[in-house]
Amino acid sequence: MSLPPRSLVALLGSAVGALALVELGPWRPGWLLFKANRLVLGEAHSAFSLEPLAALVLLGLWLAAAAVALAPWRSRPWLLALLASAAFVLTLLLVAGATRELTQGEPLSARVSLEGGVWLTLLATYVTLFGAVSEAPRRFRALLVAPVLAAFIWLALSGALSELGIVRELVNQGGDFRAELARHLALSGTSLLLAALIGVPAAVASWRSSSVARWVLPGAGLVQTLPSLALFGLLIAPLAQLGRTLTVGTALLVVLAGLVPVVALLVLRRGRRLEASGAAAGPWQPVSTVLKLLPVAPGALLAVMLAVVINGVLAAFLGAGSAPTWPGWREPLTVLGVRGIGSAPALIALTLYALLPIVRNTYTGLSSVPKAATEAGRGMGMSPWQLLLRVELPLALPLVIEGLRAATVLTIGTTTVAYLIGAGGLGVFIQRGIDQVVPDLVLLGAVPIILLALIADALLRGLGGLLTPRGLREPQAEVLPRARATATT
Amino acid sequence: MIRFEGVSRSYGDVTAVQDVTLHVPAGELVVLIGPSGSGKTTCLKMINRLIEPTQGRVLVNGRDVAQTDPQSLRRGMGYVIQSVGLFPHLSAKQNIQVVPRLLGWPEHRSAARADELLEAVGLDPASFRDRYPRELSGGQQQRVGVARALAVDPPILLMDEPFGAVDPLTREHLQDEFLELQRRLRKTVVLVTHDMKEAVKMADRICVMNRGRIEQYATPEELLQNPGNRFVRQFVGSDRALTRLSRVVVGDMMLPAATLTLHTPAAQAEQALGEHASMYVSDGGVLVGWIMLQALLESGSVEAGYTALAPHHALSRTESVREALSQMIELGVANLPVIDDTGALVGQLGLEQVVTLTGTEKRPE
Repeated sequence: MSLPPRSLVALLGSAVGALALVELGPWRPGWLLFKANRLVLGEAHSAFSLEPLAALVLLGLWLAAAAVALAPWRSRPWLLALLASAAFVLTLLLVAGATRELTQGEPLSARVSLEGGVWLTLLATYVTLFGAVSEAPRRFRALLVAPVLAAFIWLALSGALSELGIVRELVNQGGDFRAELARHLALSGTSLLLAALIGVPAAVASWRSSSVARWVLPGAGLVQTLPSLALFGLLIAPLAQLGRTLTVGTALLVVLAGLVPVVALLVLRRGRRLEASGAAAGPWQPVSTVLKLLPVAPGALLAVMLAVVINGVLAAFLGAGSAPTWPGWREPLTVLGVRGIGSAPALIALTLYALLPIVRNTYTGLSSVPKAATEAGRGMGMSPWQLLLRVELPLALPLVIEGLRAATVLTIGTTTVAYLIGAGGLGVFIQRGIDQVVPDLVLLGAVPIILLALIADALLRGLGGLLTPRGLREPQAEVLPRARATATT
Repeated sequence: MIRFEGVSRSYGDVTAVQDVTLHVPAGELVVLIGPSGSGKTTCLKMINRLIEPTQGRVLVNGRDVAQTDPQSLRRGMGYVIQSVGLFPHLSAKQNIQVVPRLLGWPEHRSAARADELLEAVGLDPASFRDRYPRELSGGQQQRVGVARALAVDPPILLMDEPFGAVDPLTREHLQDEFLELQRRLRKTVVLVTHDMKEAVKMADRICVMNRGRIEQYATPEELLQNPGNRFVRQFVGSDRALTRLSRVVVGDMMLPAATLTLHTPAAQAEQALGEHASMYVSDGGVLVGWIMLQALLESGSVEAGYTALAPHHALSRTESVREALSQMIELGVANLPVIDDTGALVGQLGLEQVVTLTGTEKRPE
């Protein structure tokens, strides 16, 4: 593998790392902010004022990383990862030590907050590692980020930063944090599940029929333009109405009634397997269009009920509230949680927002399937279903996963606004922090959201790699020797 | 085997195929040829119902295909397309197994069949079965494509420009191999191409199409000798005489060659060379060169006077007469020796014989 002459990404990262330390005229990046209590104005400390020696070493590490980023060495990714990891660990140690010193002998109400310099350093580590990893051979990539991850875990387990403001807020919020985190995860997870269950089939249907595509594709895009607050507002009245008027029994009946035409349509289809263009516009066309549209309303009802129940189960499993139980036929849907405020509107909004990336990527994935492959499949006697399951979806899978990944990152972030409609989630702490003017409390909400998004992103990227059929993967060094080895045996 | 009865296909006002009546006999290779838009591919796709006729019917084994379930109809016909259409996410073996799996064959049977077919198309199963299409050259992909079409041993093969996407050298190679395979398997093949050379080389019958109609349906010999109308004459090209030569192999046209050996006594050689302008010289049966009377007289013996001839300048029996003619023109000679695999002289071909082949053509008009 030949490297580009320099790694601009890593250079940028290292420069940011150095900038977070130096003090030049008005540029004095603070590292820690000390407040005697939550309310008073704090005093900022720069890295050099806290631990001059450590700061100097840190500056040296970043300058070395910048130099390495400019060198065309083969070992560059390794050196960059090593330097960035060292800088990261040193930063942690510096912050931990300085925090302990600042809070020594102070009352529990004293707060030490992380300031811009530390955040810049974290950003610098991320960017530099990203640059290093993208240049490293695939199989060593995990190894490169291992030290930073290990340091992170150590940080979480050791309590080394327990004096830090954000950690004190975490302790203060106690069980609340656990519960809101659970709600956040349940809301995001349920919405994603539903969006995938709706989005992938919708994309397949759009791919099969241009009349469906005319509605689905712009529709998914339109939803994105609606502000979440407006969407919540629009949902309150109909959901409240729905919850009050329908009982569990009638709702299930409506769903069942909606499914009958779908089954009828499928049975009719099976009777006459005509698929050439000439047969498409037969006398059944208007009938089948109506039949296709009929189940939309019951389908939506089913989706809402499923969403509320799944969300309740998931949240209870993760440690918030108790799992929903069977309410009985005659109870109104409100008992299940179908109300104007709470998780139902949040789930609907989040699901709608998550649809676009999933629908669009699945559709793009299906469009990118080589025409020759689908023609061959059809010509070999595959039914439309077989073609979809054996050829089209496997070939589209990498892009489908990519859509799921984008939707996941988006949803974890968007779930932050769910607290507005009373559904909870980590946004609660952000709002509390803003109300009480406590930046650390805002961070308590924001940092886990960012971490969750990053973790989900990494996991789904890995999954995408695993699920990409071997015949489609980027040619790797291992492919050719393997083929040659079998040729000689 | 396959019969078109007054078949038409139109798209709105545009007629792609008009009133085509055609019979493809069992075991024959019929080529549909014509310029783009002539309806040849449409005709092919009407056989396996990828396209439905708007009028008329297509019969396979006497059954109207419109009455047959398209999926089972297609599973009973091999289908090869120009861009090959191998499934990129499946290995060569898995690609071949697609139709057997659709038909519910047990794994061991379809795996054995895949190996057998890879072997048949000239790919070593051990090294090719697990390769993905990306790891195959264009020619290898095309071979796997043919193997895939043959997977369940269908009696009918539909091929849409099957050799179009490979370089000319590989194409000829693949054509030869396929002809070899076809001689053994005797499938009913319908092949679409726009390459007249390919058509003449492969076809038992050629169906020339233009603007959705059949212009002429005949054996290649008949087509080249008696083009039915101006379009066909233009389409087969002004070099159709040459094209005809590509249907004839050297082995069928060559004459026995009188030879001298290196050790033929000079007097005897002189007498023989008096009758022939020049003669080939062999040594222990193997062709080594040729000699003219003058050279013999100047040098005094065959061994000293003959001109050596590289074996690759000689012809083989399986070469087409067209290639032989090209060779003569290139070397500037009117006669070439024919040798077998061992290099032994088995005959000769002269320009006179080539001309008698083309000379029987009737003059146009």
